[in-house]
Amino acid sequence: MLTSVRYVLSEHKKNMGLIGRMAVMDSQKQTLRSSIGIAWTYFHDLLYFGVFLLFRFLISGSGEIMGMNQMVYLVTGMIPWFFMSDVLSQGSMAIRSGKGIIQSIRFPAVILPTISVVGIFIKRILSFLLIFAVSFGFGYGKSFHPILFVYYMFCMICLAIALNLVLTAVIAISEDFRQLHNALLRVMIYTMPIIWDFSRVKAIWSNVLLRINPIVYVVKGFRDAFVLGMTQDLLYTLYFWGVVIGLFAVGSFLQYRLKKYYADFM
Amino acid sequence: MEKIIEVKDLNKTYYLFDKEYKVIPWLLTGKGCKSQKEALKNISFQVTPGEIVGIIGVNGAGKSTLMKLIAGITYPTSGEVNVHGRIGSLINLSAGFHPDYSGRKNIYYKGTMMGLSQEQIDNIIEDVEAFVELGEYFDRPIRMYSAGMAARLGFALAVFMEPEILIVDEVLAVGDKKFQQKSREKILEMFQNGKAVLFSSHSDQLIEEFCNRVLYLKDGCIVFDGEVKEGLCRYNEDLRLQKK
Repeated sequence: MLTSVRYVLSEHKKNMGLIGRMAVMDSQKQTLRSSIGIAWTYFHDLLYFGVFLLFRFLISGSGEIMGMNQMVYLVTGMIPWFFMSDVLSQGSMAIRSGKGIIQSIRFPAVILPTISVVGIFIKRILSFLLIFAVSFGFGYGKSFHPILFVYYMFCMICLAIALNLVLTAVIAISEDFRQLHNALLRVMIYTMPIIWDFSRVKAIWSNVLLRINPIVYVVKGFRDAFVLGMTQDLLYTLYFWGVVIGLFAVGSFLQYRLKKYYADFM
Repeated sequence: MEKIIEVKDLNKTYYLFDKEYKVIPWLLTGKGCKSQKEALKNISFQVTPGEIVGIIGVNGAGKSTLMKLIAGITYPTSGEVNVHGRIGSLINLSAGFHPDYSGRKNIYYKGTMMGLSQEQIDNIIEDVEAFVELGEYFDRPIRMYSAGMAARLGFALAVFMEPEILIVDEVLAVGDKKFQQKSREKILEMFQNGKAVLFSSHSDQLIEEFCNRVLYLKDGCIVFDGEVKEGLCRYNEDLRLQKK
């Protein structure tokens, strides 16, 4: 296990420059054929955001959620989720769609997942400005905690990289895992406190159950950074970092063992 | 003489599974593999600069596996492959390009992945453009290319990155007659510059024309290593025997 973690870290260190250059190219890839390019990404977000807002408005009027404006509630949860959802849907295909590279030149496959995470981050970096615009616009400027914001940003990227190490490996070798992953991904947003709030859930066991997903920690964290201040308990923080480290270790193990076989199995 | 490729006791086994997902339990426990295929058995040889080694054998004899191992695309099950120098591999020529990038952008894209720096690519891009003769298509997306055009681009990139070792897997038939002629000349030029070339082909004529040494692979073993004419003779003799 330790050897594989060391291998993954050293490949990343060695190829730092390559990861950066490839990520920039990666961030432009999907929108290359369209005329407005990267703006489509933001159009998606705004449309999604608008529709959810409309329904919330129709159902519950211009109410508040957890004592904060529902616009602010939605945007603080939605934007980090959009990033994670891109990582889960597009990023997780990094090795599978890098088949051509792996089978034609000598290339460390293990850096492909990270390249796609960094690429998605570059593509989405402007969307984080939307949180600032909305929350400051609604007068939550005073409750902004820059340190928490940087911390949760860091949490989000660490989680994305660790998770993607595992996902790209299993998805590269098995179509079954990809289908399962896609099914889970479609329902995931409803299991998180993004469009509704957890405080309505009374039973303790279900509250615990809902918090198993580590993305919940990030989503709640962004809300803390912009509005609520430090509200997450230490236990959940420890759980989150435990999951990240665990995923990184499992992901490293899979990548290390599979690197010999990617070219053969795909 | 200094060795540029050293292959020692090389074995390669392919593992076959009846269901894809069984790979994961196999990685953990070593069980669940349905069957194994030994593609290469105890291969050892060395190549010095200036040698052009033809690799011959029937389909499934292990030629492609051997080339992929030397190119570092796949890994040996046991044994060693030591390569001293940059490799240009003409394997799956048109793979690894992005369909929406133009030819020019793709040279940067794949070149970056091959480990070239921005400046290095800047230096070769004009030569590549002149060599592939794609005209205005060089700045059009690759998805509009014909298969031959994409392969030309792959050929040019692999050749102009100035490899010390060139690995050519049955692809000298790239493009039209004119381009084939050009690529032969380019390969010959590399030969004269003292680069090592590994070359697999089913054409006796090409092997005779290019190579100064031949490796004959049969069922994953080297059965002959040496002079070109003699190797081809033995290969054709075996083929004749098989027919009977």
